Amino acid sequence: VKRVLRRPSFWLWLVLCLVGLGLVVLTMLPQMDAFVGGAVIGLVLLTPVLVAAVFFFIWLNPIRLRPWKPALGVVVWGMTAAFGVAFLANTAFLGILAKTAGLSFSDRWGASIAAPVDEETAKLAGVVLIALTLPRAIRGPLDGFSYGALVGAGFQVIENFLYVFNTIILTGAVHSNSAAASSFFARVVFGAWWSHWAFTCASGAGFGYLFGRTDKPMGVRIGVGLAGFLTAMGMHAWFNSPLLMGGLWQIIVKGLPLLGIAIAVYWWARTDYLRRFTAAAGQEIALGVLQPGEESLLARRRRRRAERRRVPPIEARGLVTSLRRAQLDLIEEDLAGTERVPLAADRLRHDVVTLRNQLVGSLARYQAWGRSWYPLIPGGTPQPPQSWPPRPHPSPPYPPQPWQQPRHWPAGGQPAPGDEEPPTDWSGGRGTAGPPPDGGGQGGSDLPPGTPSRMNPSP
Amino acid sequence: MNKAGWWGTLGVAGVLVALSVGLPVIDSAIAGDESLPTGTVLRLGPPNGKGVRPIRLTTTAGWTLRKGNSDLSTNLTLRKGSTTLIVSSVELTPNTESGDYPDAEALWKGLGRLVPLQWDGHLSSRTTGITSDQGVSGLTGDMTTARHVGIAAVFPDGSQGAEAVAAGPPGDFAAEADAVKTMIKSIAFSKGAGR
Repeated sequence: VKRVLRRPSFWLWLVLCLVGLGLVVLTMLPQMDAFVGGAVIGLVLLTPVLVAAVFFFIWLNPIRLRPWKPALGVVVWGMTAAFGVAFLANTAFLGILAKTAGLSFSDRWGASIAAPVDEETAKLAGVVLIALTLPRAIRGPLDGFSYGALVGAGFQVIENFLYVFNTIILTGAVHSNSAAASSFFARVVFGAWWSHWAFTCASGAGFGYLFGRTDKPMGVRIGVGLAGFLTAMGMHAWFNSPLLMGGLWQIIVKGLPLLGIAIAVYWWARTDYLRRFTAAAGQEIALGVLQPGEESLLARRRRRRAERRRVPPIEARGLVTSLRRAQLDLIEEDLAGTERVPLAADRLRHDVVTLRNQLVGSLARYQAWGRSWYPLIPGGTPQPPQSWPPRPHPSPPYPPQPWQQPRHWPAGGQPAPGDEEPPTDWSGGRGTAGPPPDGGGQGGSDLPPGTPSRMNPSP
Repeated sequence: MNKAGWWGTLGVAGVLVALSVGLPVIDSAIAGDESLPTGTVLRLGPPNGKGVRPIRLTTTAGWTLRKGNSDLSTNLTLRKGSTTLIVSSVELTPNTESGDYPDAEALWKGLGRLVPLQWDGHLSSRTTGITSDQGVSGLTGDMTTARHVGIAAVFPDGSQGAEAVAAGPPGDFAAEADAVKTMIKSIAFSKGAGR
């Protein structure tokens, strides 16, 4: 929290969100007061849409749910600051167009010129500020996609709320409740599927690539970032253009291609993320921290849930949850491009080894009670016991800090006689409910005698 | 925070200030009033498939069109001296039960809810009938704000309606009242302009 509070981007985010909120209140409160029924209908219909959209985009992240704090941060930006900036800028931009290019041109093309520039810039700024405030939140295009979509969803909902009142005014405030409901159907039921969230997910993905893929040449990153932004503006311009307005054409020819682009961008970003995830997991397998087969288990939420159901309850289930969490943290640390925590990866590797050993002991005790468990890595091939570290860590020298040392090693980083190589393959073998690699069924762990641990405490 | 973070934050702030402050400054610096010759026909409202707008308005002498505050699909803002006239297009929807389109009374009632939002004033509940030069019947009545007086009128025509509100300082408005009424009575609906 202290680190976040020291960042100017956080304060800019906060100030602009407050200013935007003030503008939203100033703009909409008198209208809400005048059309209470319409306002209630709008709120009742739009609030579930917002909640569903936020949960959907948090859930859409593969492997793990997206952290909710930055997600809410960008949603709030979309609903306040981005809306406020766009409201002021659009009014002025349309005025400039009307004065310079004429009322006819402005009426026909103004929305497809002004809105893409103003609104896409204002929305993307929220993703940029999150990246500057929490650099680890944006590790690649998939993170940018999600935060972009969330900004867009927030913006879309508040804009639709404003359109409730616009529709009431355009229909003469004669039937304000039915006007509010018809506005919801026109803009949400038939239009929300390819609106602001879809535009900003493209610019967000481009920015995510620019910001997070530090392993790529800067020219490529800038090119992809620019392409994402231009794609978002192009999508918005196409959506707002006076061509093919109304009816089925608007849905088929204007809307569906935009949804298709958003899905294609998601697929590209997701593939990029999973490829990097697999590569990072492969490195950890090579280091002996992860075991072969675990990468595919880690990559699927459903498999991890199934695994938790299979292991014996309470202790082992808690340990396997902690182990998977540490492994995922470790891989994500490997993927964190711009703001790595010093030595965090080494600490996590140590945690993984320790948790694995504790789990082995827990399962062994369970086995000693005459019960069995399913193999935890479906189809996983039993590996010879691995140790961490398997070889000297390149930099810094392992272990440079006391907290980095495996608990059963004495200070100094060298294993005591008989302490080396705590076994980590606790899968129990392929499809069998057998004991851990060795020592199973004896009620103790497979750690060497004298090794202090939770399973085999020192005498 | 490293230098990149400061520069990045300043860059974002700069872009947002350019949009939210710079554009309004440019907008206000550009003159957007267009003097309209007597007899100019202005068209208003969302165009149909053939590009025809449903409402027409014919100007009298001395009016200017405020382009920055006008949108051909929804409303036109005109000025003569210190008197402002806003003519709006209204898309009327039928009653869900009876299927009837709103009449002038319903339109006047609706305008009464909009005037406090747009003018910070209120409409008089006393109305009189008005017939446009085209022969469309409507209602007219007084409008007052804290510092201005004026008149308003509504004309329903099936699924299309037109509303006009004019106001100015009491002395000035009295001098322009006839010109305003002439303008309001010139409101006409284009036949076959339905969407």
